[in-house]
Amino acid sequence: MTTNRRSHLRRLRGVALLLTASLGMLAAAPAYAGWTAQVRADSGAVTAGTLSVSAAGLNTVAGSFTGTVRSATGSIVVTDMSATTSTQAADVTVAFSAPAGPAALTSVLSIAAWWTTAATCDASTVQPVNAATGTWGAGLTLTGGSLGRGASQRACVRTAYANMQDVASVTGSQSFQPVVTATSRVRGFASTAPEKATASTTVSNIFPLVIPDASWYQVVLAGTSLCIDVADNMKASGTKAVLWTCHATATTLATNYYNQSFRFNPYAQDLTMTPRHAQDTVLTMGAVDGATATITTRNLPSTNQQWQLQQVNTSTYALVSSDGRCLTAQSAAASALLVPAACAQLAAQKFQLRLSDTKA
Amino acid sequence: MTKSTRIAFALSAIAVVAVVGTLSSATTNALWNGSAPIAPITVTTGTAALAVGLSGADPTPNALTLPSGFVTGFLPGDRHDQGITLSNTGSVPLEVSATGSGVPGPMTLQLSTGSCTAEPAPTAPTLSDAPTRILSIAPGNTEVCLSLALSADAPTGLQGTQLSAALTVNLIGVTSPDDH
Repeated sequence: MTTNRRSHLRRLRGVALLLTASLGMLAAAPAYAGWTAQVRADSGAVTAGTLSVSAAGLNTVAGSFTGTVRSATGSIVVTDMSATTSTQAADVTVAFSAPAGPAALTSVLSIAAWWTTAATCDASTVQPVNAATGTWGAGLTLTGGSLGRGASQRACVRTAYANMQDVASVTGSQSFQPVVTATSRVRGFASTAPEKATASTTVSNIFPLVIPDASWYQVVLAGTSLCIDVADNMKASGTKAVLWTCHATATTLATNYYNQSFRFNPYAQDLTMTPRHAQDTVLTMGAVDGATATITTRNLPSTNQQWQLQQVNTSTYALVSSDGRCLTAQSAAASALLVPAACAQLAAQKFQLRLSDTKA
Repeated sequence: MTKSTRIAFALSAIAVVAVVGTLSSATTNALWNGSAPIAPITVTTGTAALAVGLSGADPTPNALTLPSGFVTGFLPGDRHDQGITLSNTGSVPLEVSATGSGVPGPMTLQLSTGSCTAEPAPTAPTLSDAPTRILSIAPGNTEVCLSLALSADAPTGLQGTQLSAALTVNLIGVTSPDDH
């Protein structure tokens, strides 16, 4: 083959390749360029909502306890204050605590709380079996509340104690300010509203119990020379106890004055008071306000026949029936009746013990 | 030559002439074609155009403003829906893609076809800065649903905060290759 002929063949191959490539490119290229149209949707700032909750009525939760008032029922109202468009209901809990209260008191004051649809909660409100229960000292959390936007929910709260001596103190009074912390929660978002009541939960006029030995004592109205005396030295059940001039005693009281002599006998957590001249009877508090104390046949465990000798101060005592009422002299005069009244550290409620005979 | 032989020879000659005549006639037919004017043809171009509006309102070209309630007040797990009417005001079908910008990290923006329902379809596309094909729409109105949701795991620290300065959804319609 000559050189010219080889050159001619190369040119032919080149042309063939160029044609092939061009056809290939034409086949692979987009077959069209589309028409387009565009629209847009814009918004303002995208924001998250805010949960907020409040609790009201805390002062109704704070109770005022005495020997006769051992339970207090109030309620709090939890309200959703959230700033959100969300329709999701918030889970609500309410925690009750007494962070600054005396442990001796808060540890024995029980608390029960439950959600209610009632408009109010009071002493007559029945506590459901599923109420949350605990003590103020340990704290209590009521769960299971649910609040929609702007809605409110009421929770009944009952505080109580069982035995006077559980809440007794040397000063006779103890108190604390309840703290109620409401929390609303929607998944990871939470809002907490800790609220301290402006009112205090108080226990008043309950003093420690004293148990004298088995001696016989005259019981003297403090600051006077008047003693508790079974009227006319009568022995019959139902005879009134009155104030009468204390018979003088050196070491032992004369037999005929045994109607002024009493012995304190432990009974359960309390005492009975037995008059020495009629030992089958016991001193009995009047059943109702204004009803005079008497000696009556033992009928235990009648609350009117059980007493606590509560030490008000170093040398004076309150004679408190086990239902929490104080024996009260109607006046500081001979023949004055002894009637029940609310304990208030009155002079008419303070007595002293004078040993009349150590003989059992 | 006998008589019968002469007759056969004569018939053969006639047949040859006839065939030749026929062939000659076919060849000359083309020369007899005529022509006539064709009626004018109108070539019409298509148009591609989109309009958009909130459901229940007339779509307008260009842009719409999403209501503030759609983008505010979220709690964890909340989802806000906004029905949108997408109108193909052109004359050819469009393939619609969408982008979403300004979508905060703990949020999800979805665009599903059809009217808003209780739950967006599991397959509803999630919008981001990259275009996502949504649907093909013929000329006329089509309902779509824009859904914005805050994650159920959103932490409490986000409460009351601005999650994004603004949200923008771009809807781009492109003519189908089949329409060229």
